[in-house]
Amino acid sequence: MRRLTRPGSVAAWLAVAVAVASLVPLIYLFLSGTSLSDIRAQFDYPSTSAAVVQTLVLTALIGGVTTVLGVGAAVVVTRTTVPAPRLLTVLFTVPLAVPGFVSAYATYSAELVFAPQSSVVTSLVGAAVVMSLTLYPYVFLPCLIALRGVDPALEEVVSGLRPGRFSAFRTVSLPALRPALGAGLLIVTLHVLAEYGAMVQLGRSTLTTKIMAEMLDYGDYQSARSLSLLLAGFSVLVLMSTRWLSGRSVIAEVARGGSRPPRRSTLGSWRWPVLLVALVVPLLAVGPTVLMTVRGLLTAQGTMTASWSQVGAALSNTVGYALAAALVATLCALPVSWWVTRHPKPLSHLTERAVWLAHAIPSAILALALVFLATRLVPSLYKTPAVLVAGYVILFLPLAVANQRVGLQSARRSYDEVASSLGARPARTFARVTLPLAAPGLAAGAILVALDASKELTTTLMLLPFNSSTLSSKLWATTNGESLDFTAAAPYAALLVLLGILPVYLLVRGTLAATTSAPASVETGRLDGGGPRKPAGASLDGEPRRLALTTHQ
Amino acid sequence: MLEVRGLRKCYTTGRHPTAALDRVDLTVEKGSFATVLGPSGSGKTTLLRCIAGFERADAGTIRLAGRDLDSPSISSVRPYDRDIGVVPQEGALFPHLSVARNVAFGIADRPRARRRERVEQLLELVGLQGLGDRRPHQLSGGQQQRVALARALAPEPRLILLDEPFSALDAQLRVELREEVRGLLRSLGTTALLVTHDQAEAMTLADHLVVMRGGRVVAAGDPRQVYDEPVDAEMGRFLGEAVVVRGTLAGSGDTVTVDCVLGRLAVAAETGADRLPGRTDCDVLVRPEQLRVQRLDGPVEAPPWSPGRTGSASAPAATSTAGATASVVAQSFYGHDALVRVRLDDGTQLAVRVPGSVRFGVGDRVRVQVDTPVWTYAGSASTAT
Ligand SMILES: Nc1ncnc2c1ncn2[C@@H]1O[C@H](COP(=O)(O)OP(=O)(O)O)[C@@H](O)[C@H]1O
Ligand SMILES: [Mg+2]
Repeated sequence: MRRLTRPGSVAAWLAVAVAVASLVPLIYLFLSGTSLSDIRAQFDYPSTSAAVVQTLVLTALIGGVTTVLGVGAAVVVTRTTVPAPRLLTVLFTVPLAVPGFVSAYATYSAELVFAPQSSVVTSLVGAAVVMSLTLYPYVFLPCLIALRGVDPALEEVVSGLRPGRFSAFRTVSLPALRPALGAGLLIVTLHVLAEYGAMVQLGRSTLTTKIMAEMLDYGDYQSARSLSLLLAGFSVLVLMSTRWLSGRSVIAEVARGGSRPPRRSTLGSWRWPVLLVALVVPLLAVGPTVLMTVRGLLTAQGTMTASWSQVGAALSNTVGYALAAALVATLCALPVSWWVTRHPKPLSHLTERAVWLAHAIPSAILALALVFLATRLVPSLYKTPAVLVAGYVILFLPLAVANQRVGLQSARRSYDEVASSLGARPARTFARVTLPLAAPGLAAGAILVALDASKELTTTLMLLPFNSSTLSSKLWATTNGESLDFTAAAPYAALLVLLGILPVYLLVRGTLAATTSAPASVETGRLDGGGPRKPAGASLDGEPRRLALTTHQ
Repeated sequence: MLEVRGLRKCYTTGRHPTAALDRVDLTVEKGSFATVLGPSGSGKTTLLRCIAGFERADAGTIRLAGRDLDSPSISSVRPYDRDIGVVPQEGALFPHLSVARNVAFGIADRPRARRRERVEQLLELVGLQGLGDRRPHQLSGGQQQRVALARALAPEPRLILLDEPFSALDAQLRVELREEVRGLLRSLGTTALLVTHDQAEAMTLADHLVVMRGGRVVAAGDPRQVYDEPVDAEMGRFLGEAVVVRGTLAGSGDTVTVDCVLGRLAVAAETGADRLPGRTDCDVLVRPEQLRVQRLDGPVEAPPWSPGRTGSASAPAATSTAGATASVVAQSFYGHDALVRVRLDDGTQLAVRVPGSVRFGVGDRVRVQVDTPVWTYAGSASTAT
């Protein structure tokens, strides 16, 4: 007998629509008549193979360095008795406030000014380190949440069952870390693949810089598209391999929301040396930018006054575009994240992946596609803020989705069910239960979108409305000047960093709050929360393990 | 009154569909307290979820107070229209709301003053007056369950469902709270359905007991009757301490007896009446309270630490030769009574319930006798333990 299923499908339709819309640029890429032979033809130029190799090597190097820095920082902050862990958390996150191309430009200028002969920064390893220092917070933050979220009781159980100094860490914390590391590395790697400004400043020739050069310098859109397809292929590979890394960790679900703070290992007299070493990381990451900005502002005192009005206009434009993008992205992401957390099934996962796929193509291609679509379909929109905001939204939608998912997962399904048994209709349940519990996640997603939109360079350069400017476009314009000592860039860099500080602060505060005063102890029955209906995504394979950890007296 | 008929629910995990519920029938009279007892994985939670409307059954009907909630002819009534309260295993209190707001969640449509009054009344009822401003994480496990109960009761539902509500609590609190909850629900006249894997809990709470196994209802009725007349040997063991020994049936009609290691016993009822002609072997279910144990005549090899008290009240000497001889292996006291574990001479281990004042020493030789008719079962899959 067949029975009707619930019409909870409005969200599903919206989610699919959002996914399709964000795939439009990629679809354009395929429909624009590029063939495999075009791609092969690109390899006739030796510089193509070199760029491919360079891209892969940089991706691997940066992935490794960010893992070490991000996980290490998270462990130090959550699991040791290092002094001032909260302050350290903030400092470790601060590099997020500095756009990669600004940091790269500042570091390069600093080397030009203070050690002109060394050319360390523009070497392969130097470039990888500079990039890693700006990107590791993307690994640090999810790992921080994961490590704080692990219930110490669970670790105690494990260390009781299996004595050994690190076995609790290995069997409980590490599995909980895996999805976090997967998510973080995904963001890092995609950033590396799509990075344009920083790579140019650091003298690296990657697939993306080649694509931009083809378009901007030679106007060869055909080659640009061929190379883009190749790049998109790499992105898909990355998506798939981080999905493997995230795995299906049931422990991560089960272990969520410890009611007590995690146990820390005592550093003793090593506390201060560890703190010093830890401080070196954020110092190296933001030091050059701060130094060069301050220096630039001081030396430019006399000459800059005329352009303050320009700076003001760029600032207000930047804020406006970023807020619009955050709002639209939050609304678009909601159906996707809701569907995938509440109804995890192949189609909803596919929708989520589609959103990531759109993110995975370099922003240059996205911008190109939007220009193309706008000029063909709605010429009146071309070079208007709407297209720029659309570009930002498509680009940063996954950040909103990923953070909303975390929020929606803490608003567990059993809360929805209890609410409905108390007579609440879906709308009331959503407004009174789901939304308040998911709010920190929604806010985090919106903040990250705004932050990244205000820092974004490539999309901005290509889609900026006529006679408009943003902080990043203005700053980039100064890199073509005859003096590369950062003086002209300083005011824009200062504002970009200041703008970035606020969201970073909110983000850290939200992370700390969400992981300390979590609604955790309510879930005392979490180890066996009534059968296999764990929060979305948990799989039944975890059942025996969960039962093994349960004590039914 | 709740009536569930022919409820079926399959889950497909991987390749194989597993029937979580297989033609489940269930009736709960208005105002009564029914419990469903079953081991973990027997489909109890699935049953409650189907009744609450969180899960749609594949087939069957659910009817509450004469209204179809789920049946082939209608589209399933939504949870929020069912008038059924739910107390989940882990409470699931809304973590962002105070205790008072949690309780008031289901009565949001009432005027403010009435709402506040009702919340006060309910908190007092569950013994939490004055804690309305607390957050759920500031409460102990037992308190959380009380709040969950108050929250479910607030809108005065027709039926309240409780999914192992006490299993996360420690033993002492569990017993106290379950007595309290039953008293409360009874005084309010609320119809309640509780599921649990704890047989003591199920037996003591139930007006009506339903036993589930592998998604099926295997027994239902008055708890005393279900306990006394188990439908098969395995269930007999599940419902309480019991031992199953092999036996051979003899006689027919009213005078059926069974021969086993405990001698020739009277048979109360023989299930599997369709036993093949000539097939006489069976399983015999023996409970501790059906057994009598007597110290054997002769020198008692009581160890020095054994109390060694003799007398008519403590350990009567054996006078008959029926039953079987055995040695005492252990004795555990429960205050009012005690369980004596003995090993028959053929190796079978048995538990015997005796008054708490009766003492045996380890190694004492005793005679064990069955003094009430036993239940026998045709199935021969289970072996003596
Ligand atoms: N959402 C689900 N998906 C797949 N299988 C499930 C699901 N819920 C329950 N089951 C299966 O149905 C059976 C009954 O589960 P459940 O009702 O939770 O049992 P109980 O509450 O008695 O422990 C189990 O075998 C369980 O694995
Ligand atoms: Mg259950």
